[in-house]
Parts: sequence; structure tokens; C-alpha cells
Amino acid sequence: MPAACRADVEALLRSKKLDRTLVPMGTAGVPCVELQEAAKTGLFELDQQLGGGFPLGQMSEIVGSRSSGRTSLLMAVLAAATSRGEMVALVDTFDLFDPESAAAAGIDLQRMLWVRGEPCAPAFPQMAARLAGADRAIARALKAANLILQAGVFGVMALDLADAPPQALRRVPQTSWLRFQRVLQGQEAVGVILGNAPMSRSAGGVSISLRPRDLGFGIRDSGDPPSPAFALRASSGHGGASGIRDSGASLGSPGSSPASGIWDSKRVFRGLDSDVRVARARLVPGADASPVRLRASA
Amino acid sequence: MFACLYKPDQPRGNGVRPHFSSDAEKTGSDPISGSRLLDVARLFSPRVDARSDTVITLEVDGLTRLFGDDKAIGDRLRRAAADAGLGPVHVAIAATRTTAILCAAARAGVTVVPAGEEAAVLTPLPLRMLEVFLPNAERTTSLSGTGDWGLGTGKSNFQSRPPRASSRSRESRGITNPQSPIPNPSFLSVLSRWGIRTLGQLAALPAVELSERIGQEGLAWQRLARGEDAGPLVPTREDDPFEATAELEWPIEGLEPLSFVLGGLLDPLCQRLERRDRGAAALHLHLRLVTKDTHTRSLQLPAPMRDAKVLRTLLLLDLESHQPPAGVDRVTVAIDPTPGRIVQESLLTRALPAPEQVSTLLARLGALMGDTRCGSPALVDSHRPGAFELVPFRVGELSSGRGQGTGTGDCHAPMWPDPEPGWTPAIPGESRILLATPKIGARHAAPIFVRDESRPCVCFPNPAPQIPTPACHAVADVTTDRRRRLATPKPPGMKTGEGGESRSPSACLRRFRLPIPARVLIDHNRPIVVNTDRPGLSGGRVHACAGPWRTSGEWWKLSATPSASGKEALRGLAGWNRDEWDVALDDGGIYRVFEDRESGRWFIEATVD
Repeated sequence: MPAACRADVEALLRSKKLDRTLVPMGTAGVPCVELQEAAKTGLFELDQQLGGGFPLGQMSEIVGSRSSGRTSLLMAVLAAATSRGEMVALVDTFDLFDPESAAAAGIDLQRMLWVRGEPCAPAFPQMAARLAGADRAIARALKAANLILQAGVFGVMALDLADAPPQALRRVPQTSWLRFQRVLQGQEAVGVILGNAPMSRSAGGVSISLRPRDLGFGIRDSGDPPSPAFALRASSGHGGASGIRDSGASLGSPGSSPASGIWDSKRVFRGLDSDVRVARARLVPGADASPVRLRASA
Repeated sequence: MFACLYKPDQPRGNGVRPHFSSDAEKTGSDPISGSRLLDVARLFSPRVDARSDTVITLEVDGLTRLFGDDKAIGDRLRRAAADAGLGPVHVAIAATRTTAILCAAARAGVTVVPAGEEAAVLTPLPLRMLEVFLPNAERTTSLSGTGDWGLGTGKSNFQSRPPRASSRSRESRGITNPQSPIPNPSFLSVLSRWGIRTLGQLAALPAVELSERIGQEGLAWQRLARGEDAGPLVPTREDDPFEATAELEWPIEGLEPLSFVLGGLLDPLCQRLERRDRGAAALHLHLRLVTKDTHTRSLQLPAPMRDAKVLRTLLLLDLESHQPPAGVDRVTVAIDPTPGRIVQESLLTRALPAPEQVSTLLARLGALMGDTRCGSPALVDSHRPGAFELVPFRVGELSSGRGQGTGTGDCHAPMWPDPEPGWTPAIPGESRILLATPKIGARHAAPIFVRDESRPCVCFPNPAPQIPTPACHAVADVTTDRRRRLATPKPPGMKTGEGGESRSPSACLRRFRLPIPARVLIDHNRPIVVNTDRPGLSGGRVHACAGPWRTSGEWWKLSATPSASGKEALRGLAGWNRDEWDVALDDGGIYRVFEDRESGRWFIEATVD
């Protein structure tokens, strides 16, 4: 009887083209799953949890709250792809991408196609107008992502919807996500959606959720008041560029003792610290369900 | 019957050489007059063989019904050349092209050789007349510095040069008859040393003995001396431009009917491109409107391509954003050809996509998002916060394979110079590498090394030792690992970022292109509350903060009025002078805020994510 029920469920899934979620049963009723081809994220622990990386031909998503390290993780994925010689595309819905951070993350910018959406500016302060603008920006971003997936020339296509209003995201028709999955099927490419909350992924894709662990790791403050007097100490002229930058942290105590170095080191931003959890439909034998700690260094 | 138009070179010096130029510096004839001579020949027959700029042969069979006998045809040809401003042109008509060429080169005016009398006409001609079959460069080089035209001297006046050089020179001059190869000119000197003076003497030599002594080249010269053609006449193709025009019976409006017209024009053009192994480097579209104006669009293609569907798609996508203002009654498509693309595939590296695919995608994205909204980001040589530029996304400039550019998966930081003596790094135990830009996402810029007594800026502080847990041992103490990798060379064969070793991600910013105005409460010179009116950014109490980091630059652009300066600085048009803070608010977000020191206003510049 259980075998008949299982056969019925499998037939139903196949009819809905969701058979990628099926797990073939091995001996003694233990599910045996072959590791499918995957695009590595560049993070060893996360790759182990993912069974090699993001599954090819599937839509996956990276979700998390603000400052949870979601963008840093996405940049790491893109950097790993460009290091493999692939080309990547980023659909930046609200034009929030920072090329400087991307270069520091290791992305080969020459291999990156950046599609800039409408700038996330206070151009529509009223709620109704803002939502209308967000709807328009999201619709364009979805079209651009669809075009990129249809071209089939990029190893990773990332769609950044992290700052989209939830009301606007709820108005996105489900057929859009289904279209992505259909287009991506069979390609040696990965689609990654960046968002605040889970919104869509393929049946064979993965959802990576990030949760910040401790803000205290990110920022340390000695609590000492800074010196009111600032003096410009360090300056640089790099190749004709101009700019002067000064921390101001040690100013007011020139010629200080070596202990001042420790005092200074407390006053810098050090990075992000988050827990990464992986959610999937498929089973990966031997995969650890414990969260992976992600530290994004500044 | 064949006719030959021969335009002799202008006599120089004392006019000793009426037919061939004695100026060694003149290595070629006038291409303009050569093209005009070709145009004159095309007036009479489409079957024209342009051997060189000065020798044109054409088939005149059937012209007797139009102009009369051969003499009349010759007169017509000579008169047409004179009307074209070519001056005196030699014209000869004979049953073979070789006879016509030799007679035209030897005799001025109009020469008609009756059929069957070729040998009698050619016999008295001197041997040097065979030089007419050589390119001008060969001709003048072989005769330079001599006064007897290569005949009757003890030394050879014909320079021995390999046949390939001759053919290369021939190709460069546009001689387009491959079926009549030019014999090696060095054998003419051999013949002259034998005492051969006339074409008749060469023609009378026994073929077997001649072949035994100087091979097939000698036989080839002998066939020319007898007036025999080496092959049939191969007409020279016209250099017609890759351009097609369609006159429409009624004006059309909209892109859909226009796409059919473009397809009909581009299909034959692309077939011609393929036949000639050419690709389109640029595409020009001229639409004549019903208002008598012309709507012109030009597309510079990133790579040579000749797929009609791709070119039509690119044109239509461009017209979507630049539509003609009125109906179209004539469509003209012109293509700038360029040699075809040669792609060497590799079995070991991932193949790059075809430029046609990428071009089509970029055109579609440009039509959707805007022409300036798609491309590759690039860093600029500036300390301005958030400075970048958008460059065109080029597939052809990428090299296929891994480990290119900065994304090698190993060390993506720039190579920095060693600090000067007397300057020490601020991190104890570190031999180098100290970036004085305490920003998330260190820019690829020259580092700032600081002296011991100041030591204000530490981008990578030495973290406290941590005990790695099973879940995080691979990413533990990444800053130390990163510095160590930068400081020590990587052993060969070591791969990073691919499984064996993990690399720490770098904290990235989400930068607002226009910083968001904020209200900041200050207590003891530190922000304690950050609020903003922008929906989605709630703001709140400052949980922790770091800073300030003072930056300034391009002070010469600073405005006299602080408010104007602040607005322009936000747009990147003016200098900047500000104090940056990294603040963690109680809403869970980490922000970068700054105070514009010119205007005293606060802004939220980015979020750390």
C-alpha cells in the first residue's frame, strides 16, 4: 500500500514536472541521491552543506534581513563563478550595487554584466507613488532577468530584490517565477534571487537564509569619546587622484603609548557575522543540517 | 576576339623608353587612371579582365553589330578613353588575349590582328615585350639602371626572385586572374643570355629541349611568345558596396512591417558577406521619410557578424528606442565589411558565448532598461566615495579560461609596493600590507603606510584568537589568512576557492546612488540617533558606531556656498569633505552615514550587507 501511494505521488509530481524532487529509493529503503552538478560558492563549508554548491539549472535564493551578509554571500558566489572563467550577470533592481565592494570581494568585473535598475532614491516619497515606482522597477528587473536567462550565456544570473517592498513583491505573478524555472532548466547556469524573505526557487534549488549573530562583532567601540580636534595625518596621491582620509581615532594623542594601538583597533568596523541555514527539497546524504557561520570581513 | 587597352607610362628623362617607366622609384601606376580605364572597358563589355592598372582586356565578341568591324571597335575604345581624360591609349584587337596585350604594349594607336596571323605579328617583337605580363614593380625593378632594356648585356638585368614574391605582389595590386599565373621572370634573363632577342626566336625553340633546360617556366614564356592564352578570361568582379535599397510602393509605419523589409534587404547582403568571408563591422540604416527627411541610425557591432536575423534584430531593437518620426518610403541598409572572425575553440577551457548572442542580449536590455544602464562596472582612479564607471560589456576582450583578471580565486588584492624605510606597518607581526582606507570593500588603490607614532588607520585589525568550531573552522580568522596569503607566495598547484581551501567573503555595501538625507543626534561628538524620512529605512538609536573617518578631495571644485556645494557633491560634480561613520542601529542594520562638512548635513550613504 505505501508503495502504491508513493507511485501515485511520483506520477503526480511527474505530471506537474516536479519530478526533480523525487528521491530514488535504494536498498533497505534508504534514499540514495546522486550528487548533481553544482556551481561552487567558493565557501567550503557552505559547499559541503549544499552538496557541492548551487545546483545547475535551478533557481535558488539567498534571503536575509538587512546587514545579515546576504549581499556579501552573493558577491562571493559571483566571485567564485568569475574565477572559474564564467560570465555572470547581476540584475540590480534598485541600483544599489557597489562595484568597489565587488572588486574587493574578488569579482572579475570584466566578466560581469551589470543591469542597473531605477535608482533607489527618495524620488517617490509618498507610499502610493513609491509602490508604483517599485512595481515598475521590479517588472523591468524581471523582464531583464528573463532575457538574460533566455540568452543562456551566463554562468550565474543574480536578481537583487533585497530592498523591494513586500507589497510590491506580493504583486509579482507566480508565472514569472515559473517562467524562470522553465527557462533555466537544462542550462549549465544558476539563477540566484536575493531577497528579504523566501519568495521563489525551483524544486531542485536551495534557499539559503542568513541571520545575523551579533552586531557586537561587526562594530566595536571603546566607549571613549573621540578627540574633538581632528588633524589630517595620512594623505595619499594615487596616480593623480586626490583624496585625504583620516580616521581621527588617534588624533589627540600623538606619540601615544603602544597601548593606543589597541585602543585604535577597537574603533574599526570588522565585518559581519551570520548564521547560514540551507533549506532544500532534495536530500543530500551526509549533509549536516547545522548552520554554517559566515564571517564577512571588512 | 579580345581587345586590350594599354595605357603606357609617361616617358621620363630623355624619352628613351616610350613604353616602360625608367623611374625605379615609380613602383606602381596611377590607380585612379587604372580605375578609369576599367570603367571605359566596362562601357563596352561586362567581361573585363583587369590584369593591372595599365593593362585591361575585354571580350568584344558581338560588338560588331553595334560598332562595325574590329577597326571601328578599336577606334571607339580609343576615343572613349580619350573622352575619359586618359590621354593616348594603345588598343589592340586579336583572337587571343596574349596577342592583344603584346600588340597593345608594342604599338601605339589601334592594332587589329586578323585571326591566324598572330605568329606573324608577334615574331618581330622584342623579348622585353613579355615584361608587360609582369607587375609594374617587377618591371621597373628588373630594368632599373640599364639602358638596353635587359637585352644584349653580359650581366642579367632580370632579378631572380621567387615566384611567390611575384604572386604576392600581384595580389597586392589587385590582379584578379588566378588562372593565368605569371612565369618566373628570372628565366627571361636566361633567355637573353642565350641570345634570344625576339618573340619569334623564343617561339621557334624546340619545346622539349627548352623544357629540359629551364623547365615548365620556359614553356610558359614560350606560350606567351606564341600568343597562346594560359586560360580563359575571368571577368573582374565589381567592387560593389554592401548596400541594398528598397523603394516602397506606399509608406509604412511601425516596426513590424519594417522588419520584413529589413529581412529582405539583409538576407542577400549577408549571403554576399559569407561568400566573400566578410563580416559586418558597422550597420547603417537610412530611412527616407515621407517628410523628405532621412532618419539615420548606425550600429557599431562589437564583433564581425553576418547573421541576417541577428542584424535585423539589432536594428529593430535600436529602432524601438529611436523610432522614425514619420512614415518610411525608402529603406537603405549599408554594411561596413571587415574580414571574418576566426575562433579557435579549446577543449580545456569554457567557451565564451558568441558575440551575436551577447550583442542581441545587450540590445534587448538596452531597449528595456536604457542604453546607459547595462555594461560592466569598472573602478576609476579616484578616492571619491562610490566612484565607478560603466563600460561596454565586451565578450571579445575576455580570454577564455580560468584565473583571469582579479578573480583568480587566490589573491584578488592589488600588489602593493613595499613601504619605504622608516615606515612600519601598524599591525604587529605583519611585514607589509596596511591599508589606510578603513572602508568595507577596500578599493584597489595605493595603500597608505603610516608611521608608528600615529598609527591611526588599521583596516585589518589583529583579531583575538578564536577557537574554531566544527561549523566555522574553514572560515575562522580569515583576516589573518588573507594577510598571510598576500604576504607569502602561494605554492604551485595550490587552489583556493574551489574546495580545498575556503576564502572569506568580503563585507559588501549596498550604496545609495543619491545619499539619503538623515537627521542625526550628536552626543559627545558621536551620533546616538539616526532618523530619516525615507520609507523602508526606519532608523533608530545607535547601538554601536565607529569613526569618524574624514575624507576630502577635489577641494578645488568646492563651491563657495556650503549648500550648493553639498548638493553638487552628492551628484559627484564637486569636491567632497566629510566625516564618515559606520553605525549599527537598533533596527538591526549597519549603515554608513556621513556629515557633509561644507553644509553640516547628514546623509545615509550605504548599508553594510
